[in-house]
Amino acid sequence: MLKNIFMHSGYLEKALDASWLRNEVIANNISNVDTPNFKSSRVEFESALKDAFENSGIKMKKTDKKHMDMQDVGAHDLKPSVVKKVNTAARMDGNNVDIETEQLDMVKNVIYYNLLIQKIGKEFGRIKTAINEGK
Amino acid sequence: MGFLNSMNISGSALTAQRLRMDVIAENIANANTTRTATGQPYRRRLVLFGERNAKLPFSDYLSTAQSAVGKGVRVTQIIEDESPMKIMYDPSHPDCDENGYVRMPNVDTVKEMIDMMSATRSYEANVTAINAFKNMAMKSFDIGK
Repeated sequence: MLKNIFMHSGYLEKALDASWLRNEVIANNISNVDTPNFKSSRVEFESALKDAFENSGIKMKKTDKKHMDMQDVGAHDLKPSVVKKVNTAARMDGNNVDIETEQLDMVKNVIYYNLLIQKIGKEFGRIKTAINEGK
Repeated sequence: MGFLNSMNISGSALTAQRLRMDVIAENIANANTTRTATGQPYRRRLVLFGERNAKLPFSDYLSTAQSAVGKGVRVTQIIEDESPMKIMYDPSHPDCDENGYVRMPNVDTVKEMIDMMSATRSYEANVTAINAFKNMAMKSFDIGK
């Protein structure tokens, strides 16, 4: 029981890591907006998370159909990856940074990050409530 | 992966764009300079940008779990524009040749102005990126509050 107390926040933590990395990648893309032959990158995390949920190796035995799926996805294995975008339309100088897309992604990423921070705060709040027996 | 790596990345772009701005200012300032230290008219200068690669030393490969993100941008070189000089007829000019023609710098002020606007916008985009990151970093201190 106690082992799993931080399981949920573990995923949030990984998502925060991914969001942080994504910000770095976007900053790098924006800083290279005038660099000839530069190819922009993006961070893939959500697909890895989805895969982890769907293709988890360990499955719990269910003795009743009302039992819920409890899969040990293993948050520690989740890792965001940086992928270079090479096949999009390039400008004359071989650079494929779309500044509008990057700015939008950045704003989205900040909102996502703030959401995660809020979620993680609530999660700890719930754990505190449980420890204090709801007082 | 440092805590404030994003700041360094955007900061490198601010430095690069500012240097580009300096070079543009130099070009505009010397738009009419017919004699430099070499005795030739001033030649327009251009900055070349290059990606600052995350070429990590081997030890860093071991310590970084993340795949390498770039480290921003840098000015690789300041080159001279090799396009021909503008020729102006002015026999009273002290730098004219025997036929009365003066070789003027190959600086096109309109081109420089456009370049300057481009540099300003890029600079602004990076300042926006820094502010967004700042909000994120400040927010991360709220965990556990």
